[in-house]
Amino acid sequence: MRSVPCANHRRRTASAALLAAAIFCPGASARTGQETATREFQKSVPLAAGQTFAIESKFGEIRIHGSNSQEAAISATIRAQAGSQTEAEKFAEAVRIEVQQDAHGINVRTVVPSDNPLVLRIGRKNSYAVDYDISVPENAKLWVKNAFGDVDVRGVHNWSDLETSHGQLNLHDGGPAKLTNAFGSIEADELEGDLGVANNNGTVEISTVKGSLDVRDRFGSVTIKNVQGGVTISGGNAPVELTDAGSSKVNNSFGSVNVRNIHGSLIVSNNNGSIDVNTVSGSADLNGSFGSITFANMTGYVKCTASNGRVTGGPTGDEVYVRNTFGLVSLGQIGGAVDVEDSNGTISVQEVKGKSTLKTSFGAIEASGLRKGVRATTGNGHITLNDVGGDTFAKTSFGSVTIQRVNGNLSVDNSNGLVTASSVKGDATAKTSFGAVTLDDISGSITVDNQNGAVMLSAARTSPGCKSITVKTSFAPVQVRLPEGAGYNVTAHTSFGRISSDLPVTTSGQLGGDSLNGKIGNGGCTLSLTNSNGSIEILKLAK
Amino acid sequence: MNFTCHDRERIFLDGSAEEWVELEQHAATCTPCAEELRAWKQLSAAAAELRDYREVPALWARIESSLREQQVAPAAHRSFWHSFDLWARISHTWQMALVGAMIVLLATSGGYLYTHRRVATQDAGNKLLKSGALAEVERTERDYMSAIDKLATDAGPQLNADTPLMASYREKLLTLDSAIADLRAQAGENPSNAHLRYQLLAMYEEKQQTLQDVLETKR
Repeated sequence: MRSVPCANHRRRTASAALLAAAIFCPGASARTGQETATREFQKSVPLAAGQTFAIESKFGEIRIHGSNSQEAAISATIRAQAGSQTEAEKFAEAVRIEVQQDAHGINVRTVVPSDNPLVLRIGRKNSYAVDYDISVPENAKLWVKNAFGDVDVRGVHNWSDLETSHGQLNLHDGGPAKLTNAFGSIEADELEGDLGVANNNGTVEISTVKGSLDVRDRFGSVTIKNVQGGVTISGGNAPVELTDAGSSKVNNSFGSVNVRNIHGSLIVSNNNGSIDVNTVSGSADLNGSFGSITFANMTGYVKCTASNGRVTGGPTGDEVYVRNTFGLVSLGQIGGAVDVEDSNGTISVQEVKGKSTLKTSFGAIEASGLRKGVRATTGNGHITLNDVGGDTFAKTSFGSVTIQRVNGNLSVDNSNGLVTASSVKGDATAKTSFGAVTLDDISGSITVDNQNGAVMLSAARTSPGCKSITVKTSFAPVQVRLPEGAGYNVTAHTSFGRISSDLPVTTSGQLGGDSLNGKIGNGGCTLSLTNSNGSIEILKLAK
Repeated sequence: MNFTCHDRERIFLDGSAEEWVELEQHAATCTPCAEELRAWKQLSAAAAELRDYREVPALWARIESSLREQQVAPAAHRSFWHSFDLWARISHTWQMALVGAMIVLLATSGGYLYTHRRVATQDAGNKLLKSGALAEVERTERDYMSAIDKLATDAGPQLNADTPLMASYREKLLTLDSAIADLRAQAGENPSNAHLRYQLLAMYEEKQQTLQDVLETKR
């Protein structure tokens, strides 16, 4: 067969090439790396106080611990793997630990032989790892650069600059430091100085730092505890936890931010993640979007800017300023004034020591215990206010207004909604249309301007003397309850309705079915009641 | 077939059904082979689940567990000639020539090696992967890549949306791709380095999880 010689020729050609490779290529191997060899390296070098110990490696662990001696003791384990035992041993031997000493200190470097480009390699390349275990004086400065392995440093109290990219980076019981990683975790605790941390896609856990702390991590969680100085955290896409620290600043996105016990001021910015803050002794500036914001036990001024998230706050010792959109705002036990502006969200506020300014659109306002009065404004929502210690202003449209116990003047401006108020110590003014106005136990003067809605008024039972009352409405009845003994100058007019009075009225001028002019008692205060197409009733206030 | 432990890895890779039966029978009386077989099956099951990219919470733990077992188990040394694919196909004359050449080569290098400090031949612990474990890691990597390719296709329209969240996911995927490229390049230079391989698997896993998260946002 013609094909046989051809096949044999190809086979022999391949065999010849293989043989040539075996003879002329020392690195050639047809096997995958399998055989391993291990070599130990040990060396001690003097290192004076304050000098730098520097080490650079790539594959393997670097462990460093501080000691009382004045020398650096370097131990390394070199592990090699190759296609044969001989080759593995040869490769382990070829991996060098280079130790150089100069005026600045000691430099250690792992030197790995590179392949000869003229040598053909068949199969896998050799593999290796070099692990270091090093003892240095505890006052030495450290410079460590690793790549694909862990770095662990303990008990070295001078400056440390530690870096790896794909491994764990740990620093325990140290001094000021700079820690850099890319795709591995960073852990540090018990540090005596300032700390800078940079990571890309690994977790960061830091505790007990007697200095300031700066953390940057793009895609890893950050957990910080017990930092005496200020803290700055730039995170992203992962949770941030900060507990027991000085004045702090946190930037994050797409992850929650939890902050506890800040001895100073706090600034938090978070997008697409919640903010939860508890116990801050200074002021707080909280900015978030698409996530809830919660704060409690705040001593200083709180400024909170949010969008598309719920805001819940209190107790606080000072003023609270909130701006929100598309989210509920709920505040309680506020030590100062409250200024809330919300769009499309309900506002709920309880127990405010200062003045309250509450404004929203397309949301209800519910508030109580507002000691220094309130201005409540909403576009299309109900307003409910209870126990207000000062002047009260409420404005809405397409929603009811219900107010109880106001120790000041009351002014309500409504469109197309009910107005109900009771126990007002000052003057009461209500304006609405297409909704009934019910005012009960009003100590001051009363002014009601209504259209197409009933009006029911009761003056206060215990108020001395009389207060003027002016009512205007149409297409609905008017009912006014007055205390016995008070004097009013009555002017009542209606059309297509009836005017009646339980109290004796001394009339004057013309007397007709649609108008009444006269005096109740000896007169004195104005009682002006104007209606169209509705009856007017003057009733005696029950004792 | 007269089955021995040396045939095990070859059967793992491309053994026939009959050879698998023989391997199973042999493993019944051979503890090392039984361990290897069990680890292989666990890895195969894990890899099969990887291909179905739906979330399996215990998957990563099982892969790690299997790799650890593979490393801890005493490695059965394959014969050099059994893994030399061309060997069976070349003529007897050439085989003899090759053997002679290798002997000369070894004799020449032997003297040089003996003049150097003796190195230990102990096991490299969990720092360097044996070939069996390495093959499994590489197979797992391929399965991850396959699953990721499918996920990337599914998540593509969602991922291209012009929203801050998707911009963040795109940035994270670019970061992971950069890390994967770096690790793959390093793995080419240091193929059996266990830390490197585990990191690469971790990056694949995180990329897979990130793409799943993208799809979750759609739901």
